[in-house]
Amino acid sequence: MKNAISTKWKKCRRGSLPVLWGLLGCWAVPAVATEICSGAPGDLEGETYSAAQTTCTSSSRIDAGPNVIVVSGARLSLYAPVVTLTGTVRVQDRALLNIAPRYTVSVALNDTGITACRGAGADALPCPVTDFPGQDAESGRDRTSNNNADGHAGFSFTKLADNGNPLPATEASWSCVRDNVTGLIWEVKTSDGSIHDKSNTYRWGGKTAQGSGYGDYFTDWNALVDGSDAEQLCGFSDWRLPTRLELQSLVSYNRLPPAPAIDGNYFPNTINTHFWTSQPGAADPSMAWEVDFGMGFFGAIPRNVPLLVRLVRSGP
Amino acid sequence: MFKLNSLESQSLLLVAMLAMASVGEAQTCRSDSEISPTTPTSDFRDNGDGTVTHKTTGLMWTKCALGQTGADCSGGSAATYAWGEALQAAAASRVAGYADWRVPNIKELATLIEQQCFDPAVNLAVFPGVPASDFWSSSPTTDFTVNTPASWGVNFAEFGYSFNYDRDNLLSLRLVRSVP
Repeated sequence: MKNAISTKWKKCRRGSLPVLWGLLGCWAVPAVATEICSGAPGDLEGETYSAAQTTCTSSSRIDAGPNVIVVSGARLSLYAPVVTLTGTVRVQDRALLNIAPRYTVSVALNDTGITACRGAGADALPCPVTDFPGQDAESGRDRTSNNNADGHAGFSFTKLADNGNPLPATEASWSCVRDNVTGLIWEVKTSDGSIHDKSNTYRWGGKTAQGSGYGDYFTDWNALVDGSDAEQLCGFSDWRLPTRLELQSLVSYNRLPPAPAIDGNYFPNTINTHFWTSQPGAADPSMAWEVDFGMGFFGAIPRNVPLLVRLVRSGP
Repeated sequence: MFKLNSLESQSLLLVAMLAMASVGEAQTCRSDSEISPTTPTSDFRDNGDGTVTHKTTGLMWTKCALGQTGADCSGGSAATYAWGEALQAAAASRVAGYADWRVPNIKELATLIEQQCFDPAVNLAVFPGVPASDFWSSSPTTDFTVNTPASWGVNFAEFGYSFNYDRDNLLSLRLVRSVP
């Protein structure tokens, strides 16, 4: 029995072709390393798991049991929107059965842009630094997808022409930027005195801001929102103010002031100061959230302070 | 003039006491029409093992600050760490049997800010027992003259704003891991 199980497991784990594994079938999918189970009904039935790490991932559901055993020292992880256990599922001492729903991630986060490690001092150091393990620069897209050809480190941007057509990274003139990680499309500021000019400032409130019945509500940026929609900036007419989370996604935390905390190769004409979000402050109806592109700070400040605005839109 | 008869006075007093009891802490939250919630409870799954999964980002978090225990994080007390100690504590953590916990970077940490609320700016139904101390991120600041050397953190206990903290400051810790 032990032998048979061990053989079945090895085949499933390293198989380069689909391999039948048990009565109702569980097969390896070579293109997706972690997808070992099919997620079909009866998938994990009468199986014994003895490997240190077994991961079964399904985009639909996983039905485990009856007669599943996770032996001492092993870990079986089941990732699916729905996981059901039926009959006897035995998890022995020092074994782990890990069940976590797999969700469709709807908010893709940008990495921070930090690529250097630090210790007790201010100097940038190569990673890892003794006594300072696992810091920002050691994980995330800035490490796994560090490619400066499409934006600093883990950022991935595409320039868009005024009609919305994608442009090569070398293009000298563009109107918007698509963030290929978050999916958001951003207004690029100008220095031409138009509604998109980098120096235009606005008190908080107006079209696409939240909570019009709550606290001070100015309308200074209506001309920018309406004007961008009317001219179909980059082919779109659904421009709006970003949330704090969206606006902060553009911050590159590696910048040394006075350079603005953003990739200037894609977002020129960015003044290193505060930009408004669409969100009111909870603590005080006279405040709203902003993000500072001087350093990357975020917080809420009084709404009657004239700040900058960068519009965003979402969707395909 | 505003007058109350004794029955109304008692009712109002009772309502006030109930309100205080149910809030527990001094948290204030605005209505959905004033500010949309940024971390609604439906965006999270409590995994029942001391971890919470944020369904929108896919990130898994420790439900309690490190040092707190229990289903409502009311046991123990939140530990505080200098920045280097915080990084070491994350590397050594085995919460729920996972060995790949880390300190969240500043963008990840900021996804837990509930902008509808303050004192604290956290959804207490998902993350109960938020300590008074601020929380570390794993993101160091670039070396500039104002505050050197420092790292980024968030003051969840008050408004959820970002700050640069000297690395020998003692802050709280909530760990994150990327789910495969």
